[in-house]
Amino acid sequence: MIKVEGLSKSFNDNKVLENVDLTIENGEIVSIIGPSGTGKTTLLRCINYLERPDKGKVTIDDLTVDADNPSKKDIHGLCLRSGMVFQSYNLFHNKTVLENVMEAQVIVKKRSRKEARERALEELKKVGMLDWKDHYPSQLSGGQQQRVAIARAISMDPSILLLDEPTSALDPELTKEVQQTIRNIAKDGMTMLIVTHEIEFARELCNRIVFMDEGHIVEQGTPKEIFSNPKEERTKKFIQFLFPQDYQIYI
Amino acid sequence: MIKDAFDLKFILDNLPKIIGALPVTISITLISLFFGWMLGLIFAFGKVSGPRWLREVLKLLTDILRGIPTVVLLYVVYFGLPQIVGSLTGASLDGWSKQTFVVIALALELGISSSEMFRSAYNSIRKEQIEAAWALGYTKIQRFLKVIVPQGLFVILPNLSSAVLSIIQATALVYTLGIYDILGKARQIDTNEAHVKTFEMYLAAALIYWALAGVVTVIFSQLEKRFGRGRKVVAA
Ligand SMILES: Nc1ncnc2c1ncn2[C@@H]1O[C@H](COP(=O)(O)OP(=O)(O)OP(=O)(O)O)[C@@H](O)[C@H]1O
Ligand SMILES: [Mg+2]
Repeated sequence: MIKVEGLSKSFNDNKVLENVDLTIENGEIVSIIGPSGTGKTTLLRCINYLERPDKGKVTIDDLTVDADNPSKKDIHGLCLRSGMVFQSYNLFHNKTVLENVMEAQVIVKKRSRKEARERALEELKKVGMLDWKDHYPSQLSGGQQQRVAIARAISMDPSILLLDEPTSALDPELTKEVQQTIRNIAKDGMTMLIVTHEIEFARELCNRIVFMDEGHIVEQGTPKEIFSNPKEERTKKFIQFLFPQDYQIYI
Repeated sequence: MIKDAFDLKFILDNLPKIIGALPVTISITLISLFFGWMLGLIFAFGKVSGPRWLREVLKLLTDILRGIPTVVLLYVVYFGLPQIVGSLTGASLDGWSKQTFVVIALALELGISSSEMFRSAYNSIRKEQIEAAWALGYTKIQRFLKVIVPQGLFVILPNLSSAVLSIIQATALVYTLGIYDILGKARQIDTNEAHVKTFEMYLAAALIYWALAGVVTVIFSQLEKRFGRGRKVVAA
């Protein structure tokens, strides 16, 4: 379970997140949607303290970290309990695919090299990248890199996987293959929080949609509730913006 | 005395003697490199994340030391350090070998010049690479050893290589303190021959320096291959 309570974050005078509350149960797949610059990425980055929140608590499973006085160990604990998939993949460019998936298992999880290798091969197989294990990231397409990045994150057994627009840097063909990978992981019961602009994908994959605007969670509900029957005015506007014609026909 | 024609045999005969001084040149080089780069890392760390006053001090030190020729710095350290230490603490540095002062001077100079290199290498590492390690749960020291060092090393290898070469060259200054390194030895032989073999002996020294540089270059091109992995598309 993951819980965000009263989370606030400003960059200088720019209030990016204000008092955000969000709870995700185990096994849930939640998508955050919303206009550009509303703090979706920042919210994700506050969960593993890549961005340090000004105020608020983050809980993952048994660990609660308060932004008022977080210890290094607590912050590290959040990283151990979460995995992150970045928009720009962020594979280690000086390591092969296999090494990318193995290294953190060995040095962070303290698994033996043999164990880490077996697990890495298993995850690479799942994302369909086994044949590429000895290649370097620069030899792969963006979609392939992202699938490796997903394998890398999953191999650490996170309680929750945070994905920030995992397909936004990809063309439609590659987007499909990465989305298929995410679907497969969803079938394995992984808890996920996904920021995405791929509305169709979010609608079909997620249990819940969270609509954010200007640093607030405006509304959340099932895909049906949010897309077919939004309550808030701002949500309606955004949905209409996404589906300029009669948006109902898309649902 | 009349200068003879070019004497190849004299070079060949004396080359082993000069090569005998190689350990002096190499040990001064290696020890200076070790301390110089340690100092450089510490300075770089101060420049990247030290308090403001420290950064100002290091910047000033950098500007001062950069403007001083190596030979001048060498003499300032050699003659000045014992006086300064003596008047500050009353201790005597008489027991210190000449090599020690040479190493201090060279390490100081290298420390300052390499700190800039380390700093820009650190800045060249893409933020996303470090963030990926953070998200995976790497500790600070793991991020340093597993991401920053290997990725930064590739960036600075060409600089490291030229630093090694310039330290080797700078060690040739130590003959002025009466240390018998390669150049010192070559000059000594020439002096013993009443300076009729000056050209031959400098040529012999040049050959040895050139060979040394060749070895360094080969080593670094191997290292570049090793740490350049993933940079270029390697044939599948
Ligand atoms: N490191 C930073 N320093 C200063 N301002 C930042 C920083 N990161 C984000 N911001 C600002 O915070 C606001 C929210 O950014 P964020 O990236 O979280 O939005 P987003 O909802 O993910 O947008 P998008 O859909 O375009 O990715 C923006 O105004 C952005 O300029
Ligand atoms: Mg974003």
